[in-house]
Amino acid sequence: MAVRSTAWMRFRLRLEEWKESFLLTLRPWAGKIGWALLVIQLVLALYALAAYYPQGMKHYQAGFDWFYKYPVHVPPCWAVKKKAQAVRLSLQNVKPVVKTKTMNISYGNIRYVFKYYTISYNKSFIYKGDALPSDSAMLLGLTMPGGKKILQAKIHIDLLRPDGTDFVFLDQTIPVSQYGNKSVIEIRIGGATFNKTLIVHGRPVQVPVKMPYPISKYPIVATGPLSLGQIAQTLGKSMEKVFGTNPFKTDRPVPAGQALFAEVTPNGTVVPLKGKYTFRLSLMYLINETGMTPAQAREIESRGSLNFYFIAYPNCYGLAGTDTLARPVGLGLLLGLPYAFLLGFLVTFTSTFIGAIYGSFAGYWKDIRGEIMMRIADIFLSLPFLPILIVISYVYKVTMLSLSGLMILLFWAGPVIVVRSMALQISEQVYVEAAKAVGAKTSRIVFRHVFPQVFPYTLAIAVLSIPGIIVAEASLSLLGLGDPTAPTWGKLLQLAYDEHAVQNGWWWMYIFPGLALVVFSATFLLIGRAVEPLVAPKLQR
Amino acid sequence: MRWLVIKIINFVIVLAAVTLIVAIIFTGPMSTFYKSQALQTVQMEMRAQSHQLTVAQNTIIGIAKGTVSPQDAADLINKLYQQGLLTKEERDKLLSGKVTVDEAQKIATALPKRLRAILTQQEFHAYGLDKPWYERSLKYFWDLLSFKSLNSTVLTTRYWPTQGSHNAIDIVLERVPFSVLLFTTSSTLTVLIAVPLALWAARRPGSWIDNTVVAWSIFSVSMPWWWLAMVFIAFFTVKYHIFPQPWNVNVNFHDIKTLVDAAALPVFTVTILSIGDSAFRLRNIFLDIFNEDFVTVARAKGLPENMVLRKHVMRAAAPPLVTIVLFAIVLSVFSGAIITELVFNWPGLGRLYWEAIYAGDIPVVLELTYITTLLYLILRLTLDILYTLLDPRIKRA
Repeated sequence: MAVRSTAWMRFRLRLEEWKESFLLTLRPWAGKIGWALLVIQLVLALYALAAYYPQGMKHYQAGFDWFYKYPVHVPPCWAVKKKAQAVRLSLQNVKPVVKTKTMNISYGNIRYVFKYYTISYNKSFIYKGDALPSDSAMLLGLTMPGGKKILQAKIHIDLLRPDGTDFVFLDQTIPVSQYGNKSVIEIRIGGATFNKTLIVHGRPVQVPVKMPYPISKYPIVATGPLSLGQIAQTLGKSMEKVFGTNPFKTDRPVPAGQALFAEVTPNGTVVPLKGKYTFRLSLMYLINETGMTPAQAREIESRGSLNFYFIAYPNCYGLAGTDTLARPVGLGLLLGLPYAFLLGFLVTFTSTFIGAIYGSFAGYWKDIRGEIMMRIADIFLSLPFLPILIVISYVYKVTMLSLSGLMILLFWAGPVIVVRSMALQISEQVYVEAAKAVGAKTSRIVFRHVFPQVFPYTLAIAVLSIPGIIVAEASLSLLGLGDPTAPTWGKLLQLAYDEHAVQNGWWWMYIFPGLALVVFSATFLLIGRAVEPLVAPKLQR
Repeated sequence: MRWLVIKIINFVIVLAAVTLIVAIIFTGPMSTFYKSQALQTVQMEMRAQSHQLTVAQNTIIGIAKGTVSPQDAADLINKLYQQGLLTKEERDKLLSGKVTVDEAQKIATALPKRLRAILTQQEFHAYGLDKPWYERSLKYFWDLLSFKSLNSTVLTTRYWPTQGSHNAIDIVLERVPFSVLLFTTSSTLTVLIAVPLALWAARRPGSWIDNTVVAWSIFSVSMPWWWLAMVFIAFFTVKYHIFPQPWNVNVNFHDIKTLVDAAALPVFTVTILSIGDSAFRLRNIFLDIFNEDFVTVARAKGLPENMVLRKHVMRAAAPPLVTIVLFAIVLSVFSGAIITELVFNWPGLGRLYWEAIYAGDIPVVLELTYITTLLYLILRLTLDILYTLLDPRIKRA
């Protein structure tokens, strides 16, 4: 009973000590700011894990459907004075006007019945934005009523603008096959195609998805039943009538996705044209209904379907903008936090723990064993860290865990020299002599008497070396080497570097990830600097 | 003298071990990587030569069947023989036209295999893969330690008068002037600025200048250098055209004006960043000395502050100061920052590292690592010996 109460008392005392030293670290300004930042970032990291692990994180690195939701490399909204209006239109709730015209033709004994369907949709919206949208996109999915009975199909899409001008997207006949065909085409009017699944003759044909191009460089390119090149040609022609230049040709002043909403003032500036816009889409089918009952004809009619979306992207997004893959940068910063914590904590605490135990033994053994251990540590300290990391992750595919293992292998020798010099002093103390005289084993002396005294200082070393680890990972990522599935901040910086964000002036793509790195590292430096004077050993000079 | 011998033996052991580890790490994993690359190249080469191969096969079978006369095909057959695709007997047989169809079939089916073997042999030889990796790494290890020059596999000298040299030491040494221009300049500047700054901060701990030094040290340690480089490039060269844009500049030592222009921004960035760390460390050293008793005594006996600084504080701070300054300046000659140089498009030693790794030039990587490590260890040994000679308090162990 007495023993238990002593242990309890000792535990209470230890707790009091810890609490006191924690309160001491709160005294300098560095400590206050550091702990506050740590708490905020821990909460954010836990939120990120709870909300996005693991699907969201994988999706951020590998997802391609960000283009549906977000604009491509737009600045944060607080940095933009004139804002554009986002437009999202679909024809789902629009009732079409259907006109039919039946033609009866007699040829000898046979009576042919041809039916001419004209299905037209109209949808209006009012554009009130003070700036041009960053880009526009159109998704068109079309299934024709088809069968052998369809003879001819025509599609016409145009945009009627407030000034009375008319931009024709498409006005062409659609090639029809006897099985009926379906095509889904997504176009970005100013940029390039991203995702096309063409269903030709009932089979889906995957068109390889390419990385997005900068808006101004490439016009739309596509193949398939509905040619996107045709759209570019048609739209370009009608735009040429209004602006005098074809925006789909290179070196144009306004990208085509913006030109839909643009107006050129007499003094040559490009301003948004506000007012009522109307999308008009009409489909025309010529169907051979010879010998059909009205029910059969209705069934054929109902087989056709149309999906149409139009998006005008805003010219700013959120607090941190979006990158060239249309991913919100702010989300990337949030998702990078847990990885930074994982890598920083795992690597530094494990490696300093190993180094501390190693150093304690090296300091306790004053004979040849200690010397050999120090030489080994010396060798590890003299290795060129970054080149070795680069070579190994260049050759093998690393994951976050194997990368941390590699870093532990390279960095464990960091605290050995300081810890050894502390252990040298400690092992000359009287109580160590006494323990030896009693006949305690070496491991018991080291773990009972030497290591616990060294431990608080190694904690400070660990905390202070977190920034180095995080920066090393970011450097690896910048070269395109780290874990490809983990959305770390280094990956965001890599994208910015690869897409020449510096040259193009997309500052939000590299400023924010870098700032996140700085804040994260500074947190631990501040805490470490506040803790260090409390635990630093008084070494003999 | 026993301690000196021990120190030198230690130096040699550490140097040898580091070289061996680096040689193994850089040769072993890289060779698996280059093996797969070499095999890919072979595959592509096979595809490119497939038409010629078919022609050769058809000709050989044609000779056996009598549809092609051996005289017409003599050129082709001699060429195949020179390439090593036919043995001597096979060539003679084909040229004389006395082959059975079976034999010809056999030869024709063997041709692609032989071609593949020859191409693989060539590619492996080009990458240096025809020996096992441990043999190669041991050879590299021995050549490095005995200062024998390695021959690079891909990279050549570009900036020296003798262009196109495959000597790895030349390739490394030609980048040294660039590193000196960038890093030695900036570490000299750092010393010149950081020492007075640290003294100023240490004399008034807690003042605004002290807080600035501490805060900047935290920021400069916690940010990647190349990130600040990116920000500075965007600000000073893209937004305001103060410095030339790094991607538009091709530096060399013939055009000094361009070189200095291009070096200005990197030197500025590196200096600003390294001031943070060294000013903080120097400040701590000075702060410790200001709190010593002899400084208090010197002040108490009425010495002017100037005298206290010169005679007492600076005298006491001299050994660590000299160490830091020497270490910084001498090491900067052979130092490189891989990504900072990549971002600044600066052809220093750091970028050479990346170029060599990217091109798979193992000898250059090894030579570079060896020279850097050697310099570092020599410097450490020299300082160690100097310290031991100057300061009798340090145990000679």
